Amino acid sequence: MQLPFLPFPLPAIPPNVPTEAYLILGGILFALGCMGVMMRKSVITIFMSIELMLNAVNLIFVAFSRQLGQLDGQIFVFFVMAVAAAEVAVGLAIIIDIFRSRRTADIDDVSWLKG
Amino acid sequence: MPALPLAGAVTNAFAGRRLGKPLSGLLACLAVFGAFCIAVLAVSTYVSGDTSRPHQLHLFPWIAWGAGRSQVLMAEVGFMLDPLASVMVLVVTGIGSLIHLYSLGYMSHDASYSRFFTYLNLFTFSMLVLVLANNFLFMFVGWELVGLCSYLLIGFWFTRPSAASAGKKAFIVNRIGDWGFLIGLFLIWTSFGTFQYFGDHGVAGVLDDPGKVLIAGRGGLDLSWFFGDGVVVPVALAISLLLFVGATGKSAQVPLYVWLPDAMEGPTPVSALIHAATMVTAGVYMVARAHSLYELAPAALTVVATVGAITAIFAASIALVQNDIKRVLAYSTVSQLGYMFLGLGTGAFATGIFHLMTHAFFKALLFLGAGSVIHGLSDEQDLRRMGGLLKYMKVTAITFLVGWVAIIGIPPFAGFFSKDLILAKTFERAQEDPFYYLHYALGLITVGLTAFYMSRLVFLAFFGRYRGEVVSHTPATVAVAAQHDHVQEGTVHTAPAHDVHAVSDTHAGQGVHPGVPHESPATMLIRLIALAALSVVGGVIPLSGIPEFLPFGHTPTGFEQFLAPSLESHAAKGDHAVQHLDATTELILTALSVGTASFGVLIAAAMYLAGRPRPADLAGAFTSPYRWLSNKWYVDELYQATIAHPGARLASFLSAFDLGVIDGAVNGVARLARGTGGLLRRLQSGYVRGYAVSFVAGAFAVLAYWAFRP
Repeated sequence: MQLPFLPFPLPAIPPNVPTEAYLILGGILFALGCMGVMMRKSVITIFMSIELMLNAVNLIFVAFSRQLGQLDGQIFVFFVMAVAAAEVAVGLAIIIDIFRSRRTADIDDVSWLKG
Repeated sequence: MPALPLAGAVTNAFAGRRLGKPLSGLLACLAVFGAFCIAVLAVSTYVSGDTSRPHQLHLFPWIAWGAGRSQVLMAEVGFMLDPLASVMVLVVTGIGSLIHLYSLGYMSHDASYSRFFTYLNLFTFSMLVLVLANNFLFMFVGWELVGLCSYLLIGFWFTRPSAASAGKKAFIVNRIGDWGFLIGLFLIWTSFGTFQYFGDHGVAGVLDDPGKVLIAGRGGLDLSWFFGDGVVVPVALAISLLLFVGATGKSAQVPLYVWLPDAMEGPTPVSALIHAATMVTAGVYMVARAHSLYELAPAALTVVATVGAITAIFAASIALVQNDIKRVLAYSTVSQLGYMFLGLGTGAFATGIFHLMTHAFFKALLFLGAGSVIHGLSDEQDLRRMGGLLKYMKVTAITFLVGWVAIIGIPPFAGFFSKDLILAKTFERAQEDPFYYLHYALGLITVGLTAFYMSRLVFLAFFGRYRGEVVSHTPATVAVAAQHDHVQEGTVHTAPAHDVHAVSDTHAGQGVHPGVPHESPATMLIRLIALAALSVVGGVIPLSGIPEFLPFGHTPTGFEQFLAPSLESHAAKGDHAVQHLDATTELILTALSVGTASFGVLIAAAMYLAGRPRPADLAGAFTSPYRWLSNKWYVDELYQATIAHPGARLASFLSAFDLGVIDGAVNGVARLARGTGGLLRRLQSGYVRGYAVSFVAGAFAVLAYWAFRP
């Protein structure tokens, strides 16, 4: 699919890259994010790890979209991005508030709801 | 008419404390006295008119279930005046107002003065409701109110444990009787479809209608479900027996009489009111009111008569050895009530009511006299510490003597006529049914016993030498002695009668020293004199002329004629001509009972005046009977063992059950929730990364399930 009005040619996606490669990359990114969420102490890092997981999923969506020749996956990716943006806004606000009141960004210090 | 005492009660209940003593008492008296005046007016109007039909006053329907023709249950708030009710109303309001006036003096120093008059007014109101109601259900309302008031009044000095428990006892024993009454009411409704006494749709009307009688009054009550096959009790019999259970509770007959002697814990005017004028007569009134049912069930009448006779002799025998002046009178009341039921049970309802009336006069007199004695002796109730009071309190003594001769049945006085009439009717009945000879014998023996114990009371209290301690004369020692007396008697109520004495003494200026027995204030004495007068003439009023009075069996007495519309027989109409006694038999019977009475008096005189044989020796000679009598035949102990004790055991078992099982179940559920919560809270560690791990683990678990599911 060549869009005629672009001033430069789209980088050609090497057609020989198989879908499995995308899936493996997505899996690695997702696992990294997952480990980050579980293991890092800083709230900000955890947040970034979550973003990483989301984007890993996005990558897989897009990969499948190309594989199947359908746009559904790509549409879904836009949704995920929009939601992620909103989530970042809310999440950062919460983090800043916690930091203001507690003077800490350590997730282990935030345990007041302990039963 | 009942509205006045009710208004008095309400006013006193809410405003009594603010009104102040004299005003609230005065208000109460005015209310009852006003009711009495209205009663006199109403009765005189009624009597001058047509007395064959009751005067009805329908106020408003109370319970109306269903409408129009298909009305299923109908009870109204309505009043009715008929000859029977007239007699009762006059007795209740008349004696009631005298007692109210008497209480003005007697209770003058009690702290809860207006509370007392509230109860007293409420009592009068309830009694009027009971007497004037025009249907059984509304009568039951009055009946229950009376029970409540008796509880309140008997337990008036509720700080005293004995008074509080006496009040409870009265209430509970009455409740047992009410159970019977209530079931009787249910039966009346199911078999007659109405609660009204009179009118086309009333019980009496249904009984008059031959078509309905078959299905209603003379039908059978199938008890097969309970007693096994083929047990069918006539409805009339069942109803009358059940109603009689109620009457035994309220009127203190044999199985349920135990509350009445204990009721003496209340203030003396209350004893007089409960015993003489009102409460205990409710049962008699009720039986007379339901006489049309009783006549359908002769067996029930026999039961009534038998219970009456047994009660009469039983209570009289206990009264022989009691030492508390009020207790003697209490047992005497029980015994006299037995007479009334004996009268009712012979089918001579009018005589029962007649005795009720005369008894109201002389028993109120005796109680108020006793109250005056107790008052004059600084709350001394023990006969053994009285004596020679004739010298100190002349008016009280003389009026008391009048009451004495009235109750033992010496000819020109009230008790003679009514009691003799009952015995005569019993004898009359015995000629048809020999079983009643037994009743007659019991009644006759009771005459002797009555004469004996009343004479014993009178001789011990008013003759001989004063046996109480005479306190020295200086005011200081008097005060000390007063304190001492109160402590010794164990009285808690805060009305030292001595204050009254001091006041009245100063007023009278007789120089009587406090501590020496002395006469009560004039306000109390006037009532005594009035009641004494009633006791004297009370027996003659109802008789239609002196010439007729001796052979009273021949013609119905005026009293009977007056009551005829109320007590007219529905069942026995023309069934058989009642055999009247001839004049000779009548005379012999009269002589017999008077002779028995005199014999009783003579023995008492010999024992307590002449001291031969000495009472103590006699008690020593017959130790075991004496012990039985003075312990009241151990009836209280029997009830304690058979009913109260198992009851308490059951109660404690139930309480344990409640605590262990019911509460246990409830608490168990709570504890379970708390335990689970305690376990689950450990999961809420508060470490966000821990949660994250569990998310991931969960996700893996789900994935693993989908991947490896079979």
